[in-house]
Amino acid sequence: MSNVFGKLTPYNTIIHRLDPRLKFFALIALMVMCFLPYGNYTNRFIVLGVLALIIIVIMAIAKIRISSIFSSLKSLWFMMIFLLIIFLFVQQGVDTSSLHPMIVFPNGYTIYWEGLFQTLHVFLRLVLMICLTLILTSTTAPMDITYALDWYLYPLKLVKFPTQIITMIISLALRFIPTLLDESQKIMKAQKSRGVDYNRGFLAKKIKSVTTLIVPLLVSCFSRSVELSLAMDARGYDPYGKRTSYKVLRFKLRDAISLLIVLLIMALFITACAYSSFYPGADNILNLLFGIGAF
Amino acid sequence: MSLAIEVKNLNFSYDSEEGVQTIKNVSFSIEKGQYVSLIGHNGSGKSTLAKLLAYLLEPASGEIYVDGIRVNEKNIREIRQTIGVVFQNPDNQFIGSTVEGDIAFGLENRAVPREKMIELVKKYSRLVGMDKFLNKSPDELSGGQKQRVAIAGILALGLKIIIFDEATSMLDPEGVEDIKKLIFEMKKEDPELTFVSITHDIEEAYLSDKVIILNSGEKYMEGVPEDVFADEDKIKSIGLDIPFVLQVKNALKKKGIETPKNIRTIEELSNYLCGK
Repeated sequence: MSNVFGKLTPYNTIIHRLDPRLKFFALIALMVMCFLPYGNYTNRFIVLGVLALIIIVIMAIAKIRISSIFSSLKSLWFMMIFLLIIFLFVQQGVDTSSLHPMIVFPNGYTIYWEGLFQTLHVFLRLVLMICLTLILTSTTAPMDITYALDWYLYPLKLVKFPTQIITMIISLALRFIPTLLDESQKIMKAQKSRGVDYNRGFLAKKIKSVTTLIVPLLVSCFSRSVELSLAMDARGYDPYGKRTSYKVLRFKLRDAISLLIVLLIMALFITACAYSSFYPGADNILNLLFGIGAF
Repeated sequence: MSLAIEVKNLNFSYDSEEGVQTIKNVSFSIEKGQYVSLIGHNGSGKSTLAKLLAYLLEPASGEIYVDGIRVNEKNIREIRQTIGVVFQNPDNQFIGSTVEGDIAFGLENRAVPREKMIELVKKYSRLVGMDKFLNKSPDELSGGQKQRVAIAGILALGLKIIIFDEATSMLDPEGVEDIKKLIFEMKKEDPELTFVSITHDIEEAYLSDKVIILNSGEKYMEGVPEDVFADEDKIKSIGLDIPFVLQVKNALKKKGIETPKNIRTIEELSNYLCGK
């Protein structure tokens, strides 16, 4: 569970050293690229494949192990099976003439290949998004992410919106994720030693046993927050006061080059999107490049 | 010498309806430059008193003066520039995401210029022995290391009064010695630095300039350690113990061996006895 958000890895690769503002921008940009419409399934899978390749290269540079994704995916299996069932058995659109039948039941009910593709497509998108987030969180300290966020929220400061409070809240939330995970582990152990079984039983029983975790966790959360606010007060924190910043972000040459690369990648994907949407006649990239027809 | 802390008829209760008073009519004063130990049982109101001194809680009645400033809502900024508290639980006072970020937090709040901040973070992280961990995040540190960071975070602020609310409880004996040494060095540099230690360590209390004992919200005893601990029965009647050195000294006295009053540590005592 602790790997869903990723943990800062103790390396100092070029990706680690990049400006967090740039990394934040790249994350959002590449995520948007995942979601652009690329026409038919052949195009979509080609484009996502290219994106996956780019992401794998970045992960290799950042020394993130591929296996670290799998633990994040564990919780997604249930959703994937659910989606597969929905997409297979609920027919897509009224006009089924353009779809490709996979199984035709005797009563005329048809399961189409598109259902499977749709599921795979959604799955691939999700995996890519998780990978992107993982790259950001495992190469950037939480505080740096909030500094970046603070920078992006600058326009709101002009209308007197207290952005520094928002970023402080976010940074504290990020700061306490590992602490609370640790705490929940401790509570689970304590409850297990009192006879609570978290692993067995049906859903209702599981939910019941989880309450034995949630309630003490919430209680400790509140007492922690009280102590935290006292400690912040004791060190003179004033949300509306003028503060200086210990950390200063500097946009260096390597950041400029990386920005250029990100923009280039964006241009590539937007071209692919525009081509598949507006180019008359040729409806897939394979056809354009190699003259092969596909789905 | 002028007073660092002056408390007059202080009253406080967490829940005014239940009628349980946490602090009952407490008055005392602490001179500038003193090292004061505040002792008492769990639930005797020690931590509450510390929070009241720094205006983290509002007194029900009574007056507190810190460095001559009345502690109230109006003077909150000046108070925070004067007095600082290090709490017991290091996890809940680690605000930054890294060691350096946490030490810098209080400095950022005071709008200290960045160059000065870097200098201070370096200096105090070295003093508490955390200079090799500047980039570490709190979940990579042990409880004792986090406590060192919290201590550095308060010391770096250059305050006149520092309160340790059992702030060394998670350190090993060696670590406690390190921090004590650091405090004494800082006091040497700045004789006006007042230090209040809330502690269960009777030996530490015996070494301080003044001892205040709280018992169920009331001031039980106050004075120099020799006088306070001289009344053995009164101390033991609330379940506290007297320092080991004093026990030895009393036992020696029974055998007819007189020892000077100013001997407070085992080393001093053994040196004295062997020298004799």
